[in-house]
Amino acid sequence: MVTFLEELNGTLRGLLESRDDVVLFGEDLLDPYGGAFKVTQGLQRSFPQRVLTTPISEAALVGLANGMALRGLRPVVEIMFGDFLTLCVDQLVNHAAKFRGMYAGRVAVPVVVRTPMGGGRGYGPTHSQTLEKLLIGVPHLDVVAPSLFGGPAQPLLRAVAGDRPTLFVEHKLLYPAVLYAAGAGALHVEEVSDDGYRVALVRNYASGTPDVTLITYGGVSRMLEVALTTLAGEEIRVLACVPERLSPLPRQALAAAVLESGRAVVAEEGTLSAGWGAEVAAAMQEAAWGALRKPIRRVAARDTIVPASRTLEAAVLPGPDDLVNAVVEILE
Amino acid sequence: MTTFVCAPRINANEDTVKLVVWTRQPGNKVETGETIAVFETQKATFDLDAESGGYLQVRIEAGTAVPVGSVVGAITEAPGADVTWPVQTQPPTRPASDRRLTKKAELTARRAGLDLATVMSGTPGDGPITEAAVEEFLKARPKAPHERPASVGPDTVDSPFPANRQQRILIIGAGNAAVQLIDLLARVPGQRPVACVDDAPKLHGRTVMGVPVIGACSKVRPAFEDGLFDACIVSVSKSIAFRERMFEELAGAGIPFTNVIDPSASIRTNVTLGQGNVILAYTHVGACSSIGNGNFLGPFADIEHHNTVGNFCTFGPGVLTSGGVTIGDRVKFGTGIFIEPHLTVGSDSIVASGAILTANVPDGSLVKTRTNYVIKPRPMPADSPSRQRP
Repeated sequence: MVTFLEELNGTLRGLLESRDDVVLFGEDLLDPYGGAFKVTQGLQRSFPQRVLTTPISEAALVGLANGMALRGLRPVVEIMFGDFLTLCVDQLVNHAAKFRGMYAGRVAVPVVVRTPMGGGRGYGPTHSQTLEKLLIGVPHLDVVAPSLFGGPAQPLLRAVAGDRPTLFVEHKLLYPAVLYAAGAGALHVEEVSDDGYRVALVRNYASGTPDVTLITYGGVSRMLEVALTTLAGEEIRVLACVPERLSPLPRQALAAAVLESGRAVVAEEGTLSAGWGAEVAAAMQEAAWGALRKPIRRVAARDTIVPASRTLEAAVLPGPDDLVNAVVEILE
Repeated sequence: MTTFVCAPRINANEDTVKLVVWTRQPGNKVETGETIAVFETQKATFDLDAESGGYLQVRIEAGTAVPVGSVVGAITEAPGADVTWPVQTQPPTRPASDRRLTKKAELTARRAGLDLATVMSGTPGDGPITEAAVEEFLKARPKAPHERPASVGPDTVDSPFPANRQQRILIIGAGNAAVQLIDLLARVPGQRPVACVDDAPKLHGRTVMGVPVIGACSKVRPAFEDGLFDACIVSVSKSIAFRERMFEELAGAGIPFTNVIDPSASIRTNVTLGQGNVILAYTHVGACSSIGNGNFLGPFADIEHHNTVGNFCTFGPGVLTSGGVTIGDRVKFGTGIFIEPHLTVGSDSIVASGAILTANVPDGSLVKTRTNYVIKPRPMPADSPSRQRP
């Protein structure tokens, strides 16, 4: 029984222990506070020289990380809330993602920007968003989002060891959640690898072919156990595909999963229009057109701001019922 | 009066709090505002003060994580007074007798046009009705009227129907293929089109060659129950999937399908024909061939002798098979195709116009023959204007 938060904290500690070039910084990381979500708790006490707190300037701290990375360090930056990534976009898009190409491959910018995203806590419009869609499709920038199927350790190690700037999205409701232990529950979990990042293949059936392929990532993974178990009770076989890296897409792995059923539902917590689901749907119709039996369905947040009221927030953001209904509707 | 002590909400993030310690002991007298317990979340500890004075009773021991709002203790007026603790609500459980179908079973039943209540009352046992049970039910139900075996009777027929009676036909789909069908039926004495249905709302209330479009495809069943028509036919030639779906849904619900055959077509001896086939002008079906359900043939299709054609195939103009050819289900042929004897064309294949099949085609194939291929220049007199340069 390991929580997402415990694994993340332990992985960061392991990185600081095993690599001298890893530096952690962000706002309010220092002990005893240990960061707004306690991800870095205890690390500054053990590594006071390499766990640093910064002033409140997201642009400056990502810029600082870019400079460190150019000079050979492996900075891991924490942005306290993903909503404030908008302040880092210039540093990520115009600098981190471009330097390697602009300097003919002579430099690398191995920056990892970690940040919590997502709603479900009544934090209101500016602390609940799912904004990774803004940075999806930026060439040479990886967008990674760990899930409960696989946990944060492996993708974080992969991101830090790699040479590409990486946005590492952690859904804030995953922190206290217990990672899904393969073999322990009723779901069958396998994984395939794509460039060192994994795609979890989660099935709610033991044999036969799936009726529907459900593609999702990150925070939505917390709803899969209940949604897939409910659907299993309705005799509907679902293959859920949960990639760790959202951009670039693991096209082959996703297409193979879609071909198994011929029906695809894409679910995300970001707003619907021009979202990750739109990109997945376009890629899947390119890869699997003749095999698609139904138009691809998308499940996403409504195209509006995230309300602070918990009741209204639940109406705007997708929940397990939305997954179940979309899967049933695509079969009708 | 008894006041309950409830686990407080300490922050918006956590719905569970830990009861760390009771700072007052069971039976102690406490004053209003006095700290009686300490709770803890990930972020902070919280002192809980007594809301009223009295004697403390403990329900939950220290060291336990409890949901926010749950009752952990009480303050009573008298020491050791009886406390009726509130009952923990449980989610309602479904009574075992409440029959339901799993969603998959429901979809299967609806696809077959079954009435859900009939399935539920007709399935033995209790617990949710599974897809397998619905399939059993489908197998066991009585044959639909159109599947009745033909009866042999005397030459003098005592029937309420006059000899000039026309079978009233409902046409599903009101597009160009419906025009073909209505044109065809105008030449068939025993059948007459009475209505069309189509899912495109813009066609509703209009007519196709004088035949009214009475509404969407969902109208078929009520129209049949109202006695508006005797049998139906799907006119749509392009969408094999649509033809199959309509046939499965409606025939499964007991609605008769008819075959519509052009008078110029020639159906030879011992041919077996299913239901819902459209056979257009000058099409020939050779002796001892068998044609399934819901096919669209011709014009000028030539299905030779001893052929077997499955269900829901579409044959464009001029598709010619030799003898003994086997064709699967849902095969789509273009225009002008030749097929050699004894070949098999697998289900779900598409054969493009102009193809010449000289070998078997596996299931799910896309077949295309290269056309307009110049083999070599023809020898021509030196002074010919058509002579090509070497």
